[in-house]
This record gives sequence, structure tokens and C-alpha cells, in this order.
Amino acid sequence: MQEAALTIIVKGAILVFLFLTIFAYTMLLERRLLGRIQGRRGPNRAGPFGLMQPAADVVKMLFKEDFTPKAANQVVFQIAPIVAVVAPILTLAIIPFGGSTTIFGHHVTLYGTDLNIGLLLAFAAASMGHYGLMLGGFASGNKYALIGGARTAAQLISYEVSMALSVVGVLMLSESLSLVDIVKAQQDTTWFILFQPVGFVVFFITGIAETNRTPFDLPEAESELVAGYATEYGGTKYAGFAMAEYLNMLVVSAMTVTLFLGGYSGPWLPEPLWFLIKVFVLVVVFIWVRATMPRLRYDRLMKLGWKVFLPLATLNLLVTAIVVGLGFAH
Amino acid sequence: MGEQIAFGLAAAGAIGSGILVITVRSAFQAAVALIATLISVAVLFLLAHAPFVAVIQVIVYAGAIVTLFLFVLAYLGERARRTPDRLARYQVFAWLVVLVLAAAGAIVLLTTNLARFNDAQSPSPELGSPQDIGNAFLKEHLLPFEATSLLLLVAAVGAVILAKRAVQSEGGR
Repeated sequence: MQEAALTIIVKGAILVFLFLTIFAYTMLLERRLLGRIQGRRGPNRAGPFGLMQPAADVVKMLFKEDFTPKAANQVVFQIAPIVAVVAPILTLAIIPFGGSTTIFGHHVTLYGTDLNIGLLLAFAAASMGHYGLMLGGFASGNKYALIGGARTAAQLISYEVSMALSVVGVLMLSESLSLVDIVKAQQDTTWFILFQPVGFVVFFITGIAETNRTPFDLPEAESELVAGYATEYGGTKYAGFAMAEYLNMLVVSAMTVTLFLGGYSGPWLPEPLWFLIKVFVLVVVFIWVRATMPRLRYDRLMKLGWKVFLPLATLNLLVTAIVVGLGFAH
Repeated sequence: MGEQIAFGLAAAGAIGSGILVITVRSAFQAAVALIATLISVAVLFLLAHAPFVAVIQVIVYAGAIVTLFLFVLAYLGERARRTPDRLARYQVFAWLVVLVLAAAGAIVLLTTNLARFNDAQSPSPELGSPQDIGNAFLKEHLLPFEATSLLLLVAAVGAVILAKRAVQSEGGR
């Protein structure tokens, strides 16, 4: 059923607003949780439980001086943070938060749009998002930023391959690239994590690598590269990169939920709530991993990507293909 | 109407950034302009009802290949200003090829009855969908498809062997 253009615009506006609010509180959640795990309290002064902390951070960032280094490539330096932020927001358009419902007599589907190339669009948006970090690093005119940008390029190319291969099993089971169809296929059978445990593990770990978070945060390794690709950035533009990291974390969690954990489906509670609960659990895992794992050494990072995850994902793909091809899937 | 505006923007973007790719001095800026060209062309594919090709264009060309360009640029560094352009004296041949191609394109455009295409039936929405392309590759054109993949595999293995020999000759591992 076609929706009115106005419905789509309103839906998009609400989605983006919710996403950005959730992002702000993910940041707070991370700081509080990291504090707890490390035996301290975390930010708790601004408002009750520190709930006003995100607002305070934003105000601080906005009032910083907005400078551009002389050696930087002026145009690309400005564009890079924007690219990094826009890409994860684009992915939001195809992630299903629920089935369809009726609001004020209008038929409303609880996803931006249902594309027959949905999953590929998510990968395309992710690879565009990586350009934000790479171009930011290269355009800064700073050697630490340059090394950070080059590391981003190497790391993302290495892990993107395994990531793409790890979801092919899911595609074979659901016989569709549309994320809506993938969730429906899981409602008909069961969560794909049960059929694709290896795919799930590879996807989630490469997902952590794709978001450049500890233990895969070599592009911004502070002990060797100051702040990597973001060294020359400050104020609002730096906030853009920080924002992109958290938005990517949310997008990877949402994609994992959609592909492997049954998406929005669940008993009793409303569908979007189930979706949020599952995403929340994965975000906590993200933070937990950051608090627990030390950073990998660079050569080990590359070895892990090419010699462990790539063969694992390929093997998973082969086995799934044989099982589906022989007709055991039904 | 909206489609025509989108087409105009994408076409102007493709041509404008395409010109930038060959005119800017710095290789880094050229690579950035190349990303813009490839994305504009992807939008054109999208407008031609070929979403699968459009997304693959972004993932493979704009995503992976230009990333590799940037990676190489990061390691070699920019030397645009110092290296003299050794190919400059052959410029006249490049312009000749450009002229011939432009003439050929103009002849084809002028001799084709473009208005005829408006009367033709609009393609079915299934055309260009992932299922359609999958069937074409793995049923109708299986042999060329597999031959291409074999060729690419041979090229990849060859590249690895050549690189290994180069490293060994330098006394490396």
C-alpha cells in the first residue's frame, strides 16, 4: 500500500529526531557504564543521574573555536565530518522498527522504505561513511591524521569483505535482500542466530571493527597517533566525528538485530519496544567489550581479519549453500 | 518533474566532477572528485530503474576501488607539484582521441531516432531487480559468468606471486 508523501516526511523527521536523541543518551550510557565497570561513578553532576550531560556536552562543543589548519585541504576538511554523519542516518531509512499500524486513520508502516536492495544499500552507506574518516584524515595536512586515515582505509577494506560474506548465509535462508522480508522470514521460522551462529559472531565482531571502536580503534589510537584522523578537528566538526562513531554503533546493533535476532518481533510488548530492547542489549555489549579488551596490535588486527574471519565467513557461506541447496532448510 | 530535477542534478554533478577529475592538479582532489562522479552516475542508474547496478556501483567503485586509490596516495604522498609532466608533449594525441570520440558520439546521437524511445513500453519493474540479475548470471549466462570469475581469480593469484617475487628480490621475507 502506497503512503502519502506527507506521511513519509513526518515519519522521516520523527525517526531522525529519535535516532539523534538516542545517540546522545548512548554516549551518556557509555560514560556511566564505563565508570561503573572501572569502579568509579561517571558523569553524574548535570541533572539527576547526569541526564543533562549530553546537553552540556553539546553546548560546550558548539562554543569552541571552529578552526581549519593552514596545511589542510580547505573544502574536503569541511565536508568530511558531514559525510561521516549523513551515512549512518541514511541507513536508518531501511531498518524496520515494526510491522504496519494505523495512526489517525492513516496506514503507516514502521520503516522508512522497503527496498529490494535494502541490505546492499546498508553496505553502500557504510562504505560512504568510511570516506568521512578517511578524507578527514587525508585532508588535515598532519602526519598523525594521515596515518589514521590510511589505517582506516586498510582496516575497513579488510573487515568489510568478511562482513559482507557473513550475511550471505542469512540471504540464502530468507531469499531476499529486503530487510522487511528478512524479518518476516524469521517470524515464519525462528531467529537466524540459531541457523547462523558463525555468521552472527563474524558479523558482530567485524561490526565492532567497522565502527572503529576498541579493541579495533587503531585509526585513532591515542597512545601512538594523538587522535588519528581526528587530530586536527575541534569543536563542532570533532563533534561530528564523535557522533558518527556512536551512530554507526547504533546502526550496526540495529542491523545485527534485524539480520540475526528476529528484528522487531517478540511477544506481548509492542514491536518497536522489542526492537529498542534488543538494540539496547547489543549497545551494552559494545560498551562492555570496550571496557574489557585491550587494543590489538596492528599486524594482529590484519591477521585476524584476513586469516581468521575471512576463512570462517567463507566456510560458513559454503556450508550454508550446501545445506540450502540440498533442501534441508525447510 | 521530480525525476527530471534529479536527473538534471545528477547529470550536472557527473559532468562537473568528471571535468574536475582531469583538471585538478592534486591527485588527492582528483580522487575525491572521482567519488562524486561515481555517485552521480549511480544516481543516474537509479533513475533508469536499475537499483541493483546503482548500489553495486557505490559499493564496488565508489566504495572499494577509490578507497584503494586513496590508500596508495596516502602511502606514496602527493608529488604533483614536483614531478614534471613527462606526458605533456603527447597531449596532441589525447586531444585527437577526444575529438574522434566526440564526433562519433554526436553522429550516433543525431542519427538515432530518440523520440521513438518515448513510445516504447516502459520496462517491467522486475527488470534490473536482484532476482532478475541473479537469474541472468546463473542460468542464462552461466558460462561467461564463471569464466570471468576464473579470470579474476587467476589475476589475483598472479598479482600475489608477482608481489612476493618483488619482496624476495629486495631481500625481504
